[in-house]
Amino acid sequence: MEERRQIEQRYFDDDEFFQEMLILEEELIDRYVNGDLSDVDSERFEISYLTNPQSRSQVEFAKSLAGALSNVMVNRPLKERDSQAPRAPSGLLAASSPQRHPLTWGLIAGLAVVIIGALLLLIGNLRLYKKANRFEQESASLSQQREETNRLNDQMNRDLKQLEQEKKRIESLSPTPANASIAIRTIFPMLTRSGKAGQVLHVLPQTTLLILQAPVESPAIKTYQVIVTKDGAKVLQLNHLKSRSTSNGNIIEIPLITSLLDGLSYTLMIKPEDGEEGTDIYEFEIQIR
Amino acid sequence: MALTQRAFDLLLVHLDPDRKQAAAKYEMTRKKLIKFFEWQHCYNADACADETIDRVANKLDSGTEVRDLGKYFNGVARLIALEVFRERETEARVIRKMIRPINPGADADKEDPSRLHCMQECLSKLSRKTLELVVSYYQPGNKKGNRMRIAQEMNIQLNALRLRVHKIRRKLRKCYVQCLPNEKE
Repeated sequence: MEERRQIEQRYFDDDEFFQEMLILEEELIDRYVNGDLSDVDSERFEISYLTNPQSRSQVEFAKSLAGALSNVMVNRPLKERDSQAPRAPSGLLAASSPQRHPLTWGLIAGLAVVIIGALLLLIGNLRLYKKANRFEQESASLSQQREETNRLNDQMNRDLKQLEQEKKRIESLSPTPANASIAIRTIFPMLTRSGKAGQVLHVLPQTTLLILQAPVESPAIKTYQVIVTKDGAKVLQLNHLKSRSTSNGNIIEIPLITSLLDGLSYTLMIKPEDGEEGTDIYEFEIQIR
Repeated sequence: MALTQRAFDLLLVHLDPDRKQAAAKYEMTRKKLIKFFEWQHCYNADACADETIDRVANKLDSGTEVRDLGKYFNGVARLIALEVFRERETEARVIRKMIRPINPGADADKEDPSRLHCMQECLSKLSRKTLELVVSYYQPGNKKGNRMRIAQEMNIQLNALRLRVHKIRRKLRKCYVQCLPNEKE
């Protein structure tokens, strides 16, 4: 009794202690919802706690959360992209020097020859000069292309490194395989020749969270509405999904809790929310193996 | 007995000489009282909390000297809880007979679809990092060991992790309650 009084007093005096009590309340509710309390404790919990609507509401919330997050394991494959840097073209620069023709006979004839020769030389020089100029320009252009290619190559390497780091970070979230499953799949609008549902998405049986990545075209559109249907009936609607930029273009990510996907074939519609035209439709099938 | 303005002002002054601080302490005290009554079998915890505040404030207004306001609140709250419990004992007995354990495995297919839909929507509004944390934190099995490992990987203490998840859960609950038409906070 004295201990209880002391706890109650601390509850009113100490705000951090109050916060701790709220956390303990949640943990107790979770244990009850998950069936982790003994029969005696469960009954005590029901008698003590479930006698007012706010508490019952807390339990219902915990039940919904447990239902949505059931069967959790971690293994998230990442798509790796192969990158192959195109070979940088080699540069080219050519130059030539004009030739000089020596003078040979008679002063006038010699002068004429000299003049004619000089003229010819001048014309020849001009041509060669233009050629050299052109070669220089082409060389500069090729150098620019090479720099651009190198820049793209570096960018791709950086992206690849980032993906590797992301993969390591995700794998490090759980070193043992026996935990939550999150799968990421990219979908594209497509139909098979027969016109039936296109992509088949394979997921492991332990997958709880399936994140679909759908490419979207316009970077100007800010948010999207996503509707998932099965046999014409709406299964899920998500609003205000934002697109994000990746090195493969803009995408939106649609998280789906697999426990709510109880069928095989689905239709997914993505529509811009800012009044722009253009609804993308995707057909996909989930196969668990 | 209704709360007069004078009694209310006196209560605030006793909570803190600074009016703004006093208002914050009043809100925190009321929150604590509501939770206290929820845990003490009180059907209408809000009303019980207000009754407690009214009684304490009126006592101060009557000239009673109160040295430890927290202790005084505690005492009055316990008294009111006892009064309410005696009144509601019959009702509680009936409710006890009606309530059965909630087993998500057995009742999963009987789960209200609108609740699951709301939970799905609310979970999808979390950032990916936050969603991954929630998924990892609540996985079944060795919960303590798993949570300690998560805390180590995040380089924080276990209590800090619990607090972080508690805040995320509060946010989820707010979304969930807003989504369901008849749900109370």
